[in-house]
Amino acid sequence: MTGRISSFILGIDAGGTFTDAVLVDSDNGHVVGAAKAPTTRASLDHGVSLAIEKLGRQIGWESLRQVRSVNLSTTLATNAIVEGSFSHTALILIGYTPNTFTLGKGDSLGASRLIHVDGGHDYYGNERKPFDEESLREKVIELRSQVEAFAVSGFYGVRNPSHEKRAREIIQELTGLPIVCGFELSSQLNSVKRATTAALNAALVPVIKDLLDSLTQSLLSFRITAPIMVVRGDGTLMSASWASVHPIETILSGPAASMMGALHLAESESATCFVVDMGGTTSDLARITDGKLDIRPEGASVGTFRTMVKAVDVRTIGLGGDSEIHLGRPGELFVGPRRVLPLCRAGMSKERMTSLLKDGDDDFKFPLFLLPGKGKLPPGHSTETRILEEVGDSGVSCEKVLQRFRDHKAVEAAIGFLQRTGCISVCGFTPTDALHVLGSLSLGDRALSLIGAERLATVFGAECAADFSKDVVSTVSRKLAEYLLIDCLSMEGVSEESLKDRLTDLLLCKLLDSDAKGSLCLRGSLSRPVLGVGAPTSAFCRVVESRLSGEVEVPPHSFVASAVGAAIGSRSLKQAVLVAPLSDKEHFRAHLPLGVKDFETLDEAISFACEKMKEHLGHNAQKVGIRDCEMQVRREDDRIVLKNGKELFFGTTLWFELNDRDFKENPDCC
Amino acid sequence: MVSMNFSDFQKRVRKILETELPDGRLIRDEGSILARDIKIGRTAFMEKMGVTSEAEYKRQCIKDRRIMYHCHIGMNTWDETARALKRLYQVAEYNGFVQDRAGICLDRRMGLPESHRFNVPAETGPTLDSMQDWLDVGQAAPIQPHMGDFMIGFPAATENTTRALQAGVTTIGNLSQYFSHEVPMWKDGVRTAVETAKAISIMGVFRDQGALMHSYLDDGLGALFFDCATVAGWAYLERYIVEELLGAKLSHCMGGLISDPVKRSGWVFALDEIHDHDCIGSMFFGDTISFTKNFDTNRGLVAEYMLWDIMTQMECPTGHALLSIPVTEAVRIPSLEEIVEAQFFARRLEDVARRLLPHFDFSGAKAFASQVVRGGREVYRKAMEGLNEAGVDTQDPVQMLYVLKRIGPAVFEEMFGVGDEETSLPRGRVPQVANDVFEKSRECIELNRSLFADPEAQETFGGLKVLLASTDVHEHALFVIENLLRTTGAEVINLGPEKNPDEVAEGVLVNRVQVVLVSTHNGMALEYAKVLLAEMEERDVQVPIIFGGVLNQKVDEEIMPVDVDEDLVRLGIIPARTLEDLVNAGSSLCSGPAGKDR
Repeated sequence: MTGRISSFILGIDAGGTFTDAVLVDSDNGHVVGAAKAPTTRASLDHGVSLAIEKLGRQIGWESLRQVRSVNLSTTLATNAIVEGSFSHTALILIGYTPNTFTLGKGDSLGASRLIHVDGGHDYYGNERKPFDEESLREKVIELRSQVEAFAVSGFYGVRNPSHEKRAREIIQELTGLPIVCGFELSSQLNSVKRATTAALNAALVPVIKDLLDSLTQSLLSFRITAPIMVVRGDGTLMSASWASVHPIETILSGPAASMMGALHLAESESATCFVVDMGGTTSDLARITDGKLDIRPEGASVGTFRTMVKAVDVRTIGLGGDSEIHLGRPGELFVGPRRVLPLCRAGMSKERMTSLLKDGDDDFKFPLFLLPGKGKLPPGHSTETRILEEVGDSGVSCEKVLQRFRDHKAVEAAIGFLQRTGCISVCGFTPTDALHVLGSLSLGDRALSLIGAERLATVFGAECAADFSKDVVSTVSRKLAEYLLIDCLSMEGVSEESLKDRLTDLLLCKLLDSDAKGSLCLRGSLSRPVLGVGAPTSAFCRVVESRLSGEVEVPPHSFVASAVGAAIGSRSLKQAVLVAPLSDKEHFRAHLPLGVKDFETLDEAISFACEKMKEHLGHNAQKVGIRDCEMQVRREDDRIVLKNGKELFFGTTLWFELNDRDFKENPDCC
Repeated sequence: MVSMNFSDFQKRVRKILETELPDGRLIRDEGSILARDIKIGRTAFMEKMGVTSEAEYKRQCIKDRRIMYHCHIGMNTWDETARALKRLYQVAEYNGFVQDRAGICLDRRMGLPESHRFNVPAETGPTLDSMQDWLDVGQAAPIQPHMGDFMIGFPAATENTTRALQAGVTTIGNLSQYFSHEVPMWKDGVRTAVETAKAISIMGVFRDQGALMHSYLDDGLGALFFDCATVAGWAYLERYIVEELLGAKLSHCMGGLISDPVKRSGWVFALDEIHDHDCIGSMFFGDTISFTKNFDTNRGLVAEYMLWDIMTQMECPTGHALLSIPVTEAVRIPSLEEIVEAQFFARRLEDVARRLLPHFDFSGAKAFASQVVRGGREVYRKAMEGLNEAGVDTQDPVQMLYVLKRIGPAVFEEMFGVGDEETSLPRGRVPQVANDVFEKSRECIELNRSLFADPEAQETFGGLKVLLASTDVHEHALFVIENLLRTTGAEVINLGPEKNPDEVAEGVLVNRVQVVLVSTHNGMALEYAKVLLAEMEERDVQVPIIFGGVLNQKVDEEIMPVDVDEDLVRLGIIPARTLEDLVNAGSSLCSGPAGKDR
């Protein structure tokens, strides 16, 4: 380290396909250097090392070793949840109706064992039933060798955490394993989502710990000793030590970082915008308002799990640059949802491509072919083995494979399996190819895209490859525009369910299709600009612009927006506390994470809550990595003014927030 | 519809008896000691009539076949009340009739001990703040005051009874209110039971001096039983507690919820029988359930029931004073002029009644009386045996008062009712003699059946699983709605009356219903809705919620509850004030919050 505190921050995004590393100067927010490396799914830190290595070579090691912070956004937690690859945990449910989770579909809470214990509280935070400590002890002793972590969730635990806290003490005493309580992760009602959140968090503790440990080692190998910060799903940062106890907070950190990065990189001065991040498989759509990500109020959902995590309100659409294009009747084309390898990246000769595409008859609709991959097929898969034989060394068209087998469904399933295990790549015409044909993108071999476009144009009924490609771009753009519109409407409180009627469909067509026929002509415009992220986004966003008038910008460096978003994040700690009247209406209870306390007046209860939370958050702030900064308190009263002007008071929520930022572009912050 | 067997009942009683209660015999003794310092005062009416108590006067009326008349004075302040009494007396004198007695509608806070009274928001009616105020009650005019509401049966029972007796008020109530009413911001149920027992024992000491323990059955559990036989059984039980255990003379009152003339008459015969033909009734209330907002219609109704009531008193004199209700009462607090008009009207009807009496046939009423008394005795026997078996010391007045109140009307009737068992009916029985409220519920079902048989209603509710619950004691509303919804093909789960939001939310979770319908009449719609939404959120259940009934909300310092339909809509709740609204709620159900994918 030199005498001056470095102004550089290393931002890393370990995404699903690529791992990006950027160096950002916090004095001016400029991206000093950026590098990309393929993500190594088996061990993420390897991909991170590759990206840092590239970046180091690009900008010089001296700057990199002086970084003040290494900020990481990662899809690890999200992927682990979706794939179910997390550790064995026991979820202790205190005072829950025993059959809550067998009655509905909510029986998968992310825990391998569910344990019911008597206890729990009521709406006011009064004990509903005494906590059955003995029963808990017995069950923990029975389970302690079978699980790696415990999660505890009490009924109305957010209104009174005493049973959860006592359970934690007992489990700690008996096991020494990691334990997380529901009240530590959320202050909101919904015992099912709190339990899910706690269980997933417990299950992710070992997963995130492994990553952070190996990342620390990798950084040390580059002689980078700066502290590691991790991006949360709301785009803010937490220390590695906080993240290792609260890993669930990292879910959706990738999209959140990407959106915040896009805003930082944009030339547009508006701090309120839409961000569209188009990847290979999917596109993410989110909103930023006054420089802050719009958060999904009901909590983030990942896979089938509904959690209480306050994360970016992101709409994920099964539409990406590598989405498969297939045809219907003449003039009808479909995009996705399968991800395929674009023709331009097939890495073969034009002759071979031409020959593969000749397979099949004239009205073929799935211009796909299978190429050999590096994966190894596990024994005992006969259909897959036969398909692999067909693929050989030089690939085979899907049409040909389908002709060989009677059971097309089995073939589809087998192809999916082979693709997932890396034994083959499915290659086909994609929106990326269309952009290559039109000259809007040059990441691969345009000639291969052109061959595919010509073949498809004939079946589709287009005059030439360019016309067909324009139709593809137009279809993708229309879909993007449609989702933007739906998102706008959902902001106005319109449910997606209610949009599924004929009239809405008709009006959307009128709005989005410039050539829509009839006497009614509608035009829409967006009230906030759209920022595009990701290589193929630029071209599509331009077309969106023509359908919905509004400003569209694809900022420079947007291809590493997530890593930039990680670098520029602020460290933050938030907690809400409820102060509400008790049933006698003569006393007020402060429902603190430390416990409950009753007062005769609301003001007394609020003063007490503020004082205690200042201590509590001050203590936690250090753990999160927040330095000196003032706590912001926002008060929200839940009152209803009746027709006669009188008020009914239901409670006050106090929102405590600490924000600490390395950037100087907003001097007002903290 | 049957909610418990005897073993469940026993468990519930044992749970209730876990509360520490003082020995009721000692409380009775305490009352007797307190009574030593009390001397019954003399009211202007007693002076004028030359009697020492109202009971003495009543016995004279019975002997002389004279009809006594009651009126209700509901002015806001004591001064206004005193003026009204004076004016009423003058008008009566001028027109040559006797106004025998008047009920003073005091503020509900009078039920609270004096030390608590002034921390609680005022309601309607005056309070009596000094001994002089109490004495004035008896001296304002020669009309005997009746202290019915918020006296005995409440935490201030002992002090109020002492003062009332000292003021010369000898008919004091209201035991029935003990079982179904509460005073504001008071939660000590044990003290209420203790003070009630103590006050009744004071009345017991003055039994021979004419003290009458008033109990208006329709103002208590009597109104909440479906079977008249249960009401009669309950009357026997009250008599046992008041007369056997505490030594006072019980004076039963009825009438407000009875509209069938045969039943009105029949109940007088029945009460006479229940009280072993030594019935000294406080008063017989006017029929309030038939009243409409149309004053002329009401005038006709008053004529009808007063004619019956007067002739019944002539046939079976029980000392019940009769109440001619001012025709405006369903709309507003009647003015003095309106009270006077009603009293005039009654005296004119008495002339007619005397002429008609010989042509009347009371056999229907007598048959009714004999049937309900027979059933009542059986209910009483079953109740005493059941309570004993469940572990209640039936010799202890405090235990009896405390346990019976906590059991509530639905469980009492389910356990000790005498109708034939029929599980599809509320309380699991066919009432032996259905009371008028129950019959009106059945009429309501028939009247509205076509509304729910409508294809649109069937399409909306048919096949839906609906959870039904009430925030208050109005079981009849649930009975009506349950039956009507069933006609649409809906599957109805009726949780029953007096359900808290957590019980409703738990019901939604456990029964996996698609709609919740909450019936509410007790001025807490908005508060209830807020808590219900939180309880449902905590359980992760979200289904459309319909609120029906009287959708208003009390605010502490306000007398009149406020309509909250719009506030409920803002919370995402579908309001349905009428049965038509309920049928029309179908469209809201379709676009309302969908059942959460759990």
